[in-house]
Amino acid sequence: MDSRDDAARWQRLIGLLKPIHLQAVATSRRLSRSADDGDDLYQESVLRAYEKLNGLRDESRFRSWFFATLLSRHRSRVRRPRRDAVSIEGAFDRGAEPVGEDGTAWEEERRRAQRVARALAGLSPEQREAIVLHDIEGFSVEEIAEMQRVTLSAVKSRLARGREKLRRFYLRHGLKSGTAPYLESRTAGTMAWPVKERSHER
Amino acid sequence: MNDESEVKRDLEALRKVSSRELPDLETTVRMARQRVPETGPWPWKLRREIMALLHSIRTRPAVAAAVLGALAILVASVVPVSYQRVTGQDVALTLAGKEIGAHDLRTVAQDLEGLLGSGAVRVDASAEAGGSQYVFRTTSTKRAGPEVQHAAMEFARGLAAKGYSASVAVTPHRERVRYPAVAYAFDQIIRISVDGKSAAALEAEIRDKLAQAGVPDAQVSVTDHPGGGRDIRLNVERQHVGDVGIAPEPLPQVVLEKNGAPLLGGEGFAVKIQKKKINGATTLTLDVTVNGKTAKVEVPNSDTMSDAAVTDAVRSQLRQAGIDARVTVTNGKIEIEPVK
Repeated sequence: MDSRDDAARWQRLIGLLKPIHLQAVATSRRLSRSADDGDDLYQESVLRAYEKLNGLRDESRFRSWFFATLLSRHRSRVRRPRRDAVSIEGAFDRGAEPVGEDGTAWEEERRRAQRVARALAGLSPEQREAIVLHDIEGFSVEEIAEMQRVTLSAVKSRLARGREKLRRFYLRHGLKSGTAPYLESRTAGTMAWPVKERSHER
Repeated sequence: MNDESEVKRDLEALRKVSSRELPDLETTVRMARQRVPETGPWPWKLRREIMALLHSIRTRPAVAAAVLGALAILVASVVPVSYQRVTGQDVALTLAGKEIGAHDLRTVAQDLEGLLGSGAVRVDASAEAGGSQYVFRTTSTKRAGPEVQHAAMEFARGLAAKGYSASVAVTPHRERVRYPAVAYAFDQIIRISVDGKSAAALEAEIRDKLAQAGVPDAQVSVTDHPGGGRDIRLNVERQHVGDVGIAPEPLPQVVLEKNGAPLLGGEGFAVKIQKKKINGATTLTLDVTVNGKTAKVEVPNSDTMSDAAVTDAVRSQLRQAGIDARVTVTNGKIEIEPVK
């Protein structure tokens, strides 16, 4: 009886996840230390969603409901003390290395991604979420407020402060017009994400 | 190109890079389902909930404080603590005078027992110059000292009227009890409502409640000012003699309430005086509250100091705490009056 119920619940969840799966798993990676870490966060969120699925009354709101679950898991993971400092170097080095149109485009994208990932790591989890959801995923401030369960002004504040921190990160590293999109010697070798991240905002 | 557009380009790069080779939904669900043990889902869920709770406690100070508070209340409600508590009143009735026979002794003992609602009455006899003297000792279960004192005195007067020489001594009967810490805390706080009570009634009630709590020697004075207002004075002095490691018996705290709320600040004035004699050295400690301001005054080796020196030491420490008060020390007895 239980297993039949479980199977039905999984089927229901899969049906609801299908339209948002690619965006959700990509968002998980963007919020995380690495692609593997992102996939792990996504699996954890899926499992949590499965556990709470019976509490979902309005399926039309599934997307924001699921993203709220994902953000909750994200913050839990960030606050959880981790013994394994994950290197950003190679964080997005999955699979084969196809060569871009000019032969260097993919490599440059990868390095840019690592650079901004490092900058995002310096933000609080809430600020990082706001930036990723708004500036990469294209969610509106209202949608983010619903997912983060805060007011519109709180989301705007997180966005503004997060962007300011990113800007200062780039200024500090001299990454202005004309500079090469690499962190030069600073990124050479292993560069760990901060193990302890601030959980509060300023 | 500025640093903002550089950030945008990098974010776009992150979007692209992180979209490469995404796992399909079936794979993700399969991996997620592998996290659930095949059997025994409820212990797994319980473990998960406990871990989530522990995690919440660890990462959220507010939750941690709430849980700790709840745990403290739980522990205080369940775990007993051992402490001295006034459980009744010891009554010693001394009877002497005319010839007292065995029948008379039995009658007096039975009457005393019935009057006080106490347990067995023990009679000690001794030979005095003028004849025999008998001391009837019993313990009343009533905690109200004045009530027992009043009843015993009436009983003694009755005996005196019959030609006996009778006197009574009533002292609190303390026992070491083991009650939950919550009960201990309540025992240490005496709440008295001042609503609609005359000065004399309030004074009697404070004295009575303190006696019940094992402080029969409190000096209580409640006086009404002609121009309005009420002056409530409570003076309890204790001298603790012992080693550093032995804590003195705590004094109960009197909380006066008006309309169900404690009287705080305002025109309140309270002084708690303690003298601790530890390893031969006496330290005078005063807790002074004047109009909401509080000060803790400590005068080490106060027994070796002159009254004037103690006065200066107390006064200067009170001033440092912003309290202006008249301090008088006479033969070691301290009087503190707020300056109005």
